[in-house]
Amino acid sequence: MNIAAQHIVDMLSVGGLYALMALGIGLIFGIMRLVNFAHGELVMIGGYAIWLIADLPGPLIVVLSLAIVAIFALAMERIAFRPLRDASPATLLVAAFAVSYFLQNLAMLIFGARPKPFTFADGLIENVVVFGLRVPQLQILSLVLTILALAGLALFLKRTRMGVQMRAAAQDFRMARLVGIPANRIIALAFLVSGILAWVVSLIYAAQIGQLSPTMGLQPVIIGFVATVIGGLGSLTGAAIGGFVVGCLSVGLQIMLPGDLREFREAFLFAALLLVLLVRPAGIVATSALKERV
Amino acid sequence: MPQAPNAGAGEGTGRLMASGVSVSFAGVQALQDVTVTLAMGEVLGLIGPNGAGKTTLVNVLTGFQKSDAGALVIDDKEVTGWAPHRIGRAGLARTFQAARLFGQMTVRENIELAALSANPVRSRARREADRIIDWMRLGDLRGRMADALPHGDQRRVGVARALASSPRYLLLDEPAAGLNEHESEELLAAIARIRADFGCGLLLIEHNIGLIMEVSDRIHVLSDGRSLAEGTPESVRADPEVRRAYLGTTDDGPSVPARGRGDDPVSGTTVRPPLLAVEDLVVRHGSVEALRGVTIEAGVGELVAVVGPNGAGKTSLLQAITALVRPAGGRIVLDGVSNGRKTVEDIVAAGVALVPEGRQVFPALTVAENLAIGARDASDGAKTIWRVDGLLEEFPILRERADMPAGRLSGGEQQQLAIARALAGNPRLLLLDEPSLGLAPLVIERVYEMLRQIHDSGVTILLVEQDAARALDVADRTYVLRSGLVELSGPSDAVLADVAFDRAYFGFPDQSAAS
Repeated sequence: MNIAAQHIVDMLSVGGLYALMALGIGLIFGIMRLVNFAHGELVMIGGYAIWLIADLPGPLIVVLSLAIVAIFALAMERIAFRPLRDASPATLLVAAFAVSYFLQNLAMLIFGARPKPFTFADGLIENVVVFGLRVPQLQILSLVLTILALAGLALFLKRTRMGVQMRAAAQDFRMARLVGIPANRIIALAFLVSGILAWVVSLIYAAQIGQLSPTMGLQPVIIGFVATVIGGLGSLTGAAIGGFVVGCLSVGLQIMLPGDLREFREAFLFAALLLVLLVRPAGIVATSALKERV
Repeated sequence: MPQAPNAGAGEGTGRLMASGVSVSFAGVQALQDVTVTLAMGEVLGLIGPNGAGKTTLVNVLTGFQKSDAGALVIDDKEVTGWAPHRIGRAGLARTFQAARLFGQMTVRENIELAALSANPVRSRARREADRIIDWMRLGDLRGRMADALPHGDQRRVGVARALASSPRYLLLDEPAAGLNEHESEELLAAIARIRADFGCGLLLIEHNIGLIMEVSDRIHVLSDGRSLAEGTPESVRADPEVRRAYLGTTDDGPSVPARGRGDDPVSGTTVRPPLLAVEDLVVRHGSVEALRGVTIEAGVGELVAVVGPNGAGKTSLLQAITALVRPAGGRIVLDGVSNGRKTVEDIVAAGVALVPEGRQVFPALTVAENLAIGARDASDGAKTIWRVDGLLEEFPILRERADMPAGRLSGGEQQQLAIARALAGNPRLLLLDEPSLGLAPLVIERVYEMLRQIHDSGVTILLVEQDAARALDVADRTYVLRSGLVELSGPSDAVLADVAFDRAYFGFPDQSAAS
């Protein structure tokens, strides 16, 4: 019984992390039709930022590292993507790869290619007992952070004027401009929000893998992108659901696969995801907006 | 005249027949028990107003769309449910609305590629392609890249490519869309020659009704997914049902002359200062010229209608006014200020709101959110008339559904929401793009009742419609737009009564010219 509960906690925390990644990518895709592969580098930047200022008092670490990630997110929109606003999706994709590699190499130049050990408040490795479950404190903190971020995003999108505008822009950007939503401001805001989501991921992810490297953003960005596709490109709800589906599948396979096959978990994971797409080609939450008339 | 390349394909008396075809999408009946036959050597014209089901029928014929009921027979062979490429091999070829050529290939390669499907030996396919090129009189263009050709030539290459697969039946999807008069005439001549030299059956879908009437042996009219009429061009043209399907209900009144093309463009009785002045506007989409020098005015507080068949350039006009597309020529003046390099945001801030074709509400947002998002105070210190709660009072159905996602509303409710959303911006100029499209008659009544109320409140309205009767009934002044040109304009009652109206709208030849 305990083991089952432990597995569920694992699924929720991994799924939540993937959902955060998927939402960060899905938000930008919905508005700009841009698959922002440089989103992973925001996670990487967040990790290094925290590591750089680790000696400062806690609240200051939070504020400063968040500010750094936000600045990079806004700068990438202003410098790289805004001039390409009307370019084809293929051009945007290549631009995203360019930004991604540029930031990776910049990090390599500054910090070197070798991974740096990353510990996040030493005491967090110890286990605590919750409802008879022994859970590492880090996992509890991750879960709480994920839930806070998801709830915060949901509240922002649901309750604030700018949040509603952002959802409208993600559904139909042209019509959104026609009802008076300023394009530049809403896109900048989307990058800011996706930057904040990336920062939350960087906190959790860096602590979980215990090290920093210039290419650490690659794995989460691919998983996050896959999750947005599984959930249904263009739908934010879909992105969140997709993240949890991929997370649950991933943990579930880890549990159920016999020991000698565990090594190949990813192969099984992606095969399963392929099956999902064969059954629902448009993703779990299909949006009609992307269909083309023959 | 060059020799017809493969006249052999045209022998025999085959028939393409689709009988009892029904198709529905998510509960909407797109086609209902439609039967169409096309004999070899015959030209059949398929017409119908926007949303009649023409594209769906074409997709059924070519195998791109499965039908819920009905059978498809080509030359006594049942091909119902076959994949598109197998239907192609059974003898049916098509062209597309956009030519869809392979842009980075030469004209000859484009045609050779199609010839290969009927003729697997490359050298023979090339000879065949050359024969068709000569026959189509495309010789000068043989080595040119398809991308580099003007639009009219691309269309002709598209037709040549379809012919190269030696079809027994050829389906031409709006071959004249975006062509100018001269190019249309060339195409018309080519179509006549195809029938004579290849002997294949031609199915023509075309919004240029004048053109289709001229070349077709028979006309089949679709309306609301049903066969409305079938017969010779003369009988269809005289059929009041057909006229009604396009124009809505109209009674011919006494003849009061309106102004025709070439008259003073500032027509009718605009005594009020113009809020919107469109001057000599030219809009191009790629190589297609959608508007070719259009001049339109709307005075403060006026309700002006722009009517015209599909493809007339109505939506392009609205896109230019809202800065969604940049004009290639002419200018748009809003309240004395030229639009120049203004962005969509500037236009909206200046008090322009658009109710787009197909509503375009935000489906995943609630009704209340859809309204709140468009809400803004009136610009330039004008009085703010509409607030969200006031609009919910005005539209009771929206208040009832305020917390429901807009995507779950019916078409009519979505249309009301789209209008309310535009009003929430307290516009000075309200643009509406085909507000009656796809709605039931009763709902259309309601929408037009709303337009009257909005008009009474003093908002200037530019209404773009295919349903001419309704638009003319409500509008102060009307412009008839066809093929990117204003054909007729004036006070609505004068336009409606003008003997030149049918000619202006449909592009019929002769008829009114005599009177």
